[in-house]
Amino acid sequence: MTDAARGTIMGLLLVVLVSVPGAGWAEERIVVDVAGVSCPFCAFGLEKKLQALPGVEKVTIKVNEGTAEIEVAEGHQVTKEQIQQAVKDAGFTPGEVRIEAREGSKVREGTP
Amino acid sequence: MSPALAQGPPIHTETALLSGFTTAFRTFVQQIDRSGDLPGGARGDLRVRAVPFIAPYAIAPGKLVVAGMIPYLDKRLDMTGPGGPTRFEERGLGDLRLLTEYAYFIRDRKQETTRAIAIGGIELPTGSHGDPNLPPGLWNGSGATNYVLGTAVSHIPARWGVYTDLIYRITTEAAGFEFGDTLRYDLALGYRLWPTVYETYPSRQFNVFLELNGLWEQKSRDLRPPSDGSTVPDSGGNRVFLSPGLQYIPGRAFLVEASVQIPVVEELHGRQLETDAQYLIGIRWLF
Repeated sequence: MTDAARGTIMGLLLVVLVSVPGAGWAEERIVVDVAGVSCPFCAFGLEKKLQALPGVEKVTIKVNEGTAEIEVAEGHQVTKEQIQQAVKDAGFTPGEVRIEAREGSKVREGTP
Repeated sequence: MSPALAQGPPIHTETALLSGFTTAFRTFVQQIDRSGDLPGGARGDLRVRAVPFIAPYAIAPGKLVVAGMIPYLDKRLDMTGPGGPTRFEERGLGDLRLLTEYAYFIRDRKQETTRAIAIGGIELPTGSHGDPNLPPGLWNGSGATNYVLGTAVSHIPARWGVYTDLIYRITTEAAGFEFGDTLRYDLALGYRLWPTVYETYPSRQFNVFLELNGLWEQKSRDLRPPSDGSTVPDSGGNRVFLSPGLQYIPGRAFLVEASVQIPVVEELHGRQLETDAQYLIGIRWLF
């Protein structure tokens, strides 16, 4: 493969990556176990509290799994304590907080 | 796949789950039709339409909530007696109720919660009352300051939910009349009909409820001349309704609900009107 062809392919890959929604924007995905979310109607308050944390781009509450997934924008860092406090402020009981890269690999270990 | 989680709040029974909102709004239209024989040989047909406006505010979500509730009432009583037909009507705002709910027990587990709350409140005499041309039952308010004390317990283990409450209302006298104290006792079973597994919030869902709603009422006391303050013989008693209900939650923060209340026990003192039909349709918003 010539350098020109390699450059074209790399350029195309870059375009694809940038055009995938969210790619390159959210740095981390944080998963928190939430106990007591037994009324999906009540998940509204949890979503609102987590969404209000600085840098949080998206919150997905998986009611069946009892977890909330939080996507944090690049350049922002949300601490374990902030997440646990937000869950408590919503009236639920926080469990383990796991921090993962958006693709699923770990970027930070344990408590931020 | 584990059983997905439960449902929304029950329609008539209090929920102990105070989480999920900072502010909310609930209203419904309830119609009550009653008929029967009255003292003095008259026949009565009563129709009550009540539209309460309920606004809770969470001081500490899940732990401490205050709420204000005021009903708009439209009452009509048709009496047919020896003297011919008579119609009594009254409409307007009823008494304002201010409540505080505090969660004194919370046990959260994965996909499960058990909670208990204490309920305390006061009723202020904002509704019209004391009209001597109306039977006291038709007044929009009691005219008195009344007090509310109670508790509610909810256990939501999976797709099911069990809710119960016990709420006592201490009444006082005003305008020469004292309505009897009341004890409200409710038990509700909730079940999420659809979806069978609740994956990601928000999803549309249908819930069904089956509730037993009881209201015991002490006899009233009449102090207006020529009465001597003795109890009213044709007042008070015990009513229990079996209340099937449906609830639809289309999205994030809104639900619509409806319920029919079938009287299964009406042990009333003396001659009083009995329930023909009782039903409600309502909505709730979270903010």
